[in-house]
Amino acid sequence: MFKKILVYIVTYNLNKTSFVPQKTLRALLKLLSMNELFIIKILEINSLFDYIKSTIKILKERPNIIHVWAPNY
Amino acid sequence: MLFKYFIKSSIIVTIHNYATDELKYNIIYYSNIKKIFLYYYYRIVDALYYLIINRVSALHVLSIYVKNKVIKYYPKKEIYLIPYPLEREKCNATKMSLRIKYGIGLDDIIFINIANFKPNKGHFMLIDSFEKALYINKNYDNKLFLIGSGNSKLVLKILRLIKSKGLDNNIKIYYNVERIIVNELLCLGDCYIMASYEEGFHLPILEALNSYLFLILTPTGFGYDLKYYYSSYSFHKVVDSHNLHVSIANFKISDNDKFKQEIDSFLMNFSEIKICQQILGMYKKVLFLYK
Repeated sequence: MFKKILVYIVTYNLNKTSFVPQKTLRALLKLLSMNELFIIKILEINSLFDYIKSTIKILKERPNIIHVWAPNY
Repeated sequence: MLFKYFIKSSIIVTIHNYATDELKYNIIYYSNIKKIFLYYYYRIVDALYYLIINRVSALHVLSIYVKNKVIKYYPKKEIYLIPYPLEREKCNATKMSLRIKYGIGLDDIIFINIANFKPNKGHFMLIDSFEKALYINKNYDNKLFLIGSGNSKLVLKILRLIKSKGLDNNIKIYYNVERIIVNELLCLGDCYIMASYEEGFHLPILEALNSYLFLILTPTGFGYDLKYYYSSYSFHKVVDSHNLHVSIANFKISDNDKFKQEIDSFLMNFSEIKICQQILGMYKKVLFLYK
């Protein structure tokens, strides 16, 4: 049994459907999550509270990769 | 502690575009004090970004246009070019039935622009070019649809400009409309125009191709990629902003099978599965390189 690779994708506002990059990214993340080698987890940061919560979560789980993908900054 | 932790995990950052590059065009309508504040605010954002990026394992960019900029700043960083994917959707209704639904003449040429209402998207320049094109080819039934959301004050200014030019019958604004309507408008259109001064990628280009629209673009974002790296394809024309009116005036509908086949083969590169594989490949490479 091999150990799965944990990837955290950090993004924001995925539910804002009017904005095209978010819509595309949401669909892509769904597809990425189906992979067998990786465990893809999504962290949506929409506020400072989310940010603190997410940092703690990342610190606890220690992912192999953190991918910061914010469609606009 | 946080720092130590981040050293252990590999970090990938997706760069959409540089804040100050877009800001150059977006601050022109603000008051002087706000302009200065915003300018320095975004300089700080870019500087912070620069510091963070120096620590990351790899960078992900969406277009060659942005990649070329990033290479200048970070020549030694690993950069992965993976564009946005496109979920191919077919039009639910025919072009003819949609035109009847929206009350548009069947022979009218419809130009479409999808962009947030921000100064860097070049709406004013586009309206000027469209007006010039109307007088060149004297086809006064041509229409331009501006679709988007964003700054309502800018929309009012655009509406005032349209009225002052007497183009009320030719230019329509669809502000904050639902996705279904956007898709329908793309399906009934003939040509997609991007008149932006600064872009990172501009996803509506792919959506327009999905509806088999011809593209007239300015050389920024994905427009730059098409001009310099996909120049053999005939479904696009990339022109500088001062020549935009000529391309609009010369546009002719080319709705043949070859045109559609070319678009289909091009869009194969942007299928969700292909892009997904590329992203997973990037993760594997990053893990292998930084083990």
